[in-house]
Amino acid sequence: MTNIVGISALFHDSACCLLQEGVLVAAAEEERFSRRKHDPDMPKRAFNYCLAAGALTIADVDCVAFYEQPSRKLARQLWTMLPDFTADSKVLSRLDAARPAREIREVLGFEGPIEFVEHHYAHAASSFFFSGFSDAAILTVDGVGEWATTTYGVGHDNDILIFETVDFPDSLGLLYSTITNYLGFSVNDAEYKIMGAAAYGLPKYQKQIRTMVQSHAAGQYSLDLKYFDFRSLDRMYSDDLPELFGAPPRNRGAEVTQFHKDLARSIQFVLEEILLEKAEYLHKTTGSENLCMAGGVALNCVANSRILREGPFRKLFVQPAASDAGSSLGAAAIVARRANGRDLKPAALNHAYLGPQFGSDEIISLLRAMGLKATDCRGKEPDLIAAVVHQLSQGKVVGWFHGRMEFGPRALGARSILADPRIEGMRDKINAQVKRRESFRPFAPAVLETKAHEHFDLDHPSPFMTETCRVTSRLHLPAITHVDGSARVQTVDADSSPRFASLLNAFERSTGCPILLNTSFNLSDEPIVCSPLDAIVCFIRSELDLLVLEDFIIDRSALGTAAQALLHDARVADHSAVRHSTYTLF
Amino acid sequence: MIRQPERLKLVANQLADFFVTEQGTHVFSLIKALSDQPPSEHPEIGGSSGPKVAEVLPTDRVGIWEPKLRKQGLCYLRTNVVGEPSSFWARTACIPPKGSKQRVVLLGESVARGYFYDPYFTPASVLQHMLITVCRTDNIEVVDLARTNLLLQPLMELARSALVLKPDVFVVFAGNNWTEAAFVSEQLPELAVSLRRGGWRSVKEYLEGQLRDRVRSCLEFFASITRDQGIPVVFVLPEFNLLDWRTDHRSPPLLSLESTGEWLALRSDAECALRGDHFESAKSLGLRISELDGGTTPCGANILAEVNNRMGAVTEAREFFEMARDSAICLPRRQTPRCFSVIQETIRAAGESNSIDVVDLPIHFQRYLSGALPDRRLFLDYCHLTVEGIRVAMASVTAAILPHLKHPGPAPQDLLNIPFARNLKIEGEAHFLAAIHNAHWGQGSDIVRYHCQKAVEHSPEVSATISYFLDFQLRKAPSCLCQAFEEMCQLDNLSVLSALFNRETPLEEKILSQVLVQELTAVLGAHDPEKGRAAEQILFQEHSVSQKEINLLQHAYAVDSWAAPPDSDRFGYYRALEPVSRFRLICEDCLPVQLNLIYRIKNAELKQEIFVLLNGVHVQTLPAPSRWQTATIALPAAMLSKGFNLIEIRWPLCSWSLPSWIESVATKLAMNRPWRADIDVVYGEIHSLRATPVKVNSSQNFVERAQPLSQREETRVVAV
Repeated sequence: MTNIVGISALFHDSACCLLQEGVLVAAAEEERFSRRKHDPDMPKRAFNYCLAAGALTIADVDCVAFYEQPSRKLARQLWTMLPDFTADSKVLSRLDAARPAREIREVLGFEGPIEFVEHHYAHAASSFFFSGFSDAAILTVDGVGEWATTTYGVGHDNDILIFETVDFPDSLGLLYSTITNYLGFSVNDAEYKIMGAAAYGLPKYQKQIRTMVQSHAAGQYSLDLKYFDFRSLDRMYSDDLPELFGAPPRNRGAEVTQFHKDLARSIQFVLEEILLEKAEYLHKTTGSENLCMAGGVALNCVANSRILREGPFRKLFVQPAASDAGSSLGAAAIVARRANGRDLKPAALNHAYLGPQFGSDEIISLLRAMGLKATDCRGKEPDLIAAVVHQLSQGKVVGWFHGRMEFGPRALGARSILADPRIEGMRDKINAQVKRRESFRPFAPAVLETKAHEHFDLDHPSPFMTETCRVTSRLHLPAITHVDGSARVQTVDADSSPRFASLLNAFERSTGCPILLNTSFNLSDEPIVCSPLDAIVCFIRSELDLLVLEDFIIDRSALGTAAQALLHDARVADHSAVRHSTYTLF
Repeated sequence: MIRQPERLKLVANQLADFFVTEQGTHVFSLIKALSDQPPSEHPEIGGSSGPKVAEVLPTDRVGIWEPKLRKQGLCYLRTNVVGEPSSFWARTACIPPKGSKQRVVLLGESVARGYFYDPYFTPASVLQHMLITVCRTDNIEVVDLARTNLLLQPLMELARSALVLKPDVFVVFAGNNWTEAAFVSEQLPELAVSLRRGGWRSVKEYLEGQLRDRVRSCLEFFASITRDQGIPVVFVLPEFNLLDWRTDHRSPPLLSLESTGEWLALRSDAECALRGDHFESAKSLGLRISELDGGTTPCGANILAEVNNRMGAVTEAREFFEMARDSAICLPRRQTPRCFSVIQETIRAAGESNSIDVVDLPIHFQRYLSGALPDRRLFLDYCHLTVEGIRVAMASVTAAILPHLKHPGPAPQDLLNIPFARNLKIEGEAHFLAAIHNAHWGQGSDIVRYHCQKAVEHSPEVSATISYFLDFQLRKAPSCLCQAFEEMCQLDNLSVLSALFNRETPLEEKILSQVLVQELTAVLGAHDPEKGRAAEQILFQEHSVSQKEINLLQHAYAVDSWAAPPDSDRFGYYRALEPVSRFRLICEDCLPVQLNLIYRIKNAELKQEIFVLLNGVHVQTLPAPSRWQTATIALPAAMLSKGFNLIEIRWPLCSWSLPSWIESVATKLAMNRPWRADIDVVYGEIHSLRATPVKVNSSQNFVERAQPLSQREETRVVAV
């Protein structure tokens, strides 16, 4: 089997990837094409993109690998509904183990073999097989797959063995989501906001959190279910939870008070402590110096950095799309290995640029239609770089669109908003005028890999923004330094991101600073931009000063006022593809 | 939350393993069916008795008008409401407190807005003018609360909230947007029962019954306003453009293989008979078609209507045109708004029982036209009225209102003599917008040409708007981003802007209608040849295959009408729901083109074939594979025309079992799964259809994301 497509879908954040001869050729989340945030539907657009990227027809696909076992998931859903699983007909009607196969056939039109891979096995493979490690301990942590919520495994060459699991309803991911829910933020969406808010608080409520979750021997832990309600469609906690904290739940949109920040800090602290403890256990059990992590909780980069710094492992790899979207990679890798023998192992993932790219013709056609004046820098990259550096150093905020789109939730210099990190007030400006999101949320830096150690407490490449570190720079970097002195760094190397590295180099030559603020190119509650059209629409609707569309530079002053006025309040993206009041268990 | 016993996880695993087997799937579906709760009260209507006005608390807002205290008292000011498109609502800026003026409150849909003329010329303004003129007083005001796309339940909510405005009379001009009231998700299991019992024609009857009940509830609600609040309600019964608007459907839903085959053959024969003026033959063919599909498509009725109309039998023609209109209640396609016979009959019955006053526009229009069928004189499209239509309608409404305002008044025909200032520019633009709307709903070149010509006759200045429109409509970029659109906005024409810009879907894909482009280019070219040529250049620049590969499955080339199949974007490939699929190919230079097709026909039988035609001429015959297969088709230069070319793929009729098909749809209905996409026959499926100019190496030809064809396909290139 040469061409294996991996799919994650029907839950949240659907995605598709293509392995050809064991090489990862393409991967993308469906939301980027459909413009529906967290789009859970069968990823038909991402699928068709993967075919095109691999120069394949649908008949050329040898197998589709799906990222979970539907019958085991159904079992967990039935058990959750006990003692009477027929009692809630609305929930019961949604249980449909045949849906994945049916939709792969009906929606995608695929005729060939379909294989199902256990969810956490897919997570484990998505990390280990793309880590470049010949051996590693593997830790996967999420809300829940079929039954498992946490798994402990070991990888050697082409093999992965999962030797211990923690099963539903005991789940660190669901614990974190429950607190997220209680704090009035969207579940499956805003857990990282809690992580960001934690830096503003103190762990005053760790004792209360510890009554909700207890760590046990080996890899085990358990939740005290009296505080939870995973059967409700409206919330994840019981009435006991507000009593535990002595405060009512926060309403969405209400002020975030010190209590909320302290609670965020507390859940973050407890999560880190438990993960550290379990990392110790995993190290003792496996003896490996390397750790691979995956699952939604592995996107908690603050916890990841503690594991690396304080834990027993020397190296840590977290695949950039560590949540469900990325498990499509693992599913495909496992099926490729099954089909093609034990020798097949995908190459290490050095970059996340796996999505579509767009040529000048399409951009020119768009600019011509809009009558937009743009500076054409085709064949003149140094001029383009120089112009952008000038604007950045003047305090302008730049939309940067170049090359293949990133796979995963982080913008890594392909679909990024860039700014000078040294400017006081830049963070607030971008939060308020461009991203339109909560003011407490920090921004992340991109730094030349060769210069990272001079400015951050970082002694290794970190290309995927999966860990945080301390800012040690002598430069004043208010826009990317979080209130606790940390930053979630992306190290940029010239081999993987030549143009982005050139930009950073030029910025350093001009300003002495090899660092740029790098945040995702999207407005709050919209998917990251994918196409030039998406970028232009976002440019219009935001207050970005400049747009760099591949080799073309467009200044805001070139925009027509009518389009701005028309698009300002118009509906350009579906902000609610999944329910955010609870974790989607059914 | 209680922790269930761990041992039960094993049992759950075993049960789930059973439920995914064939037998277990069936058992699981039975368990789901047994546990199904009775449908909750329909959230829209609130049960058959309807909401009583006295029981309902008054709302704070009236539509998008919010109460604000001003010097003169509590006014209602038009505001922007999050989630509610402001452009849909009448542009009444401020509703002052009720003073000494007699107040007529107008509620209604886009027809009541004067769609295409609004805000410059509206039924509300015409009504007010007529009332003031006849009553010789300024002491009457008409408050316009009309909203485009207003549905049945929101209409009642609006009326309820509008009571605070203290109307002396309500005028309700609605009934075109009520189709959706027939489909209620809680009652889909009953629909499944109807389907199993009597096929799709039973579904039509069921839906009509549901609609009748809901309309009765609505009318009872309005009757209670009169009864309990003492406010007269005048209900304006809408009419439809029977003569000029065609509802069409090219394949019958949910019939047996034999009946479908017969239906398709009959249709073809009937169209042939009509072309040759063989009326008796066409008549019997049309009757047989209607028997076969039970009136669930407009096909038979269209033929019979056409025959009778040409034979001068107007009454019979009307009957069949109405049948064609009514078939849309169950057509598996998005359809234009319309007032079905079941709605008209129910409203008339309410009028006869005197529970509400009814202004029966079908009858008034018939009188006005001296018995002729309603057509383009009174309608710009399916239901939106011309200036003449609005005046005739409002004359009838005025006559009905006057007694309630305690004014004697002349007959409606005398009201038509009241002079009105005409705005030819606005009328010209309305015809221009109507040309677009007609074309985008698949109407023929005759009516599109009519509106294009009327547009420039009324106002030569419209050619500037036409020029801008062609510019941005022909470009792939979303219209609202185009420079031409920006420039058109400078013309400051609200009616054009609100018709052409949809705030809900500002980036929606465009239709590249050959009919519209050709008729508008012709009209523009006659006025300004240079602009006509410029439009043509944009067409080639954006869409011509001469320089680049074209994906013919893109909306612009594959879709020719907004009457799209439901759930069409659910699939990752094209589904042929008609026996002939049509794609537009634009060529600037007539050089040979290669078509690369990946297709299949599920349930294909041995030796069945597919025919590919170019501009009506056969170019290739292909096998009918049941699994995806790639084919390459050469389109010789000599067969291509500069401009639009039509590629047709004619599919065979493959086998299916009607009982299995019905059961499959009924099961999905009963389980509230997506079902609409399953109503039509799927003649074939296309995963990819790309046109490439032959002169250029295909690997250099890509500006889209697609990569060059795989090796496998390149070896299949046919030498030209």
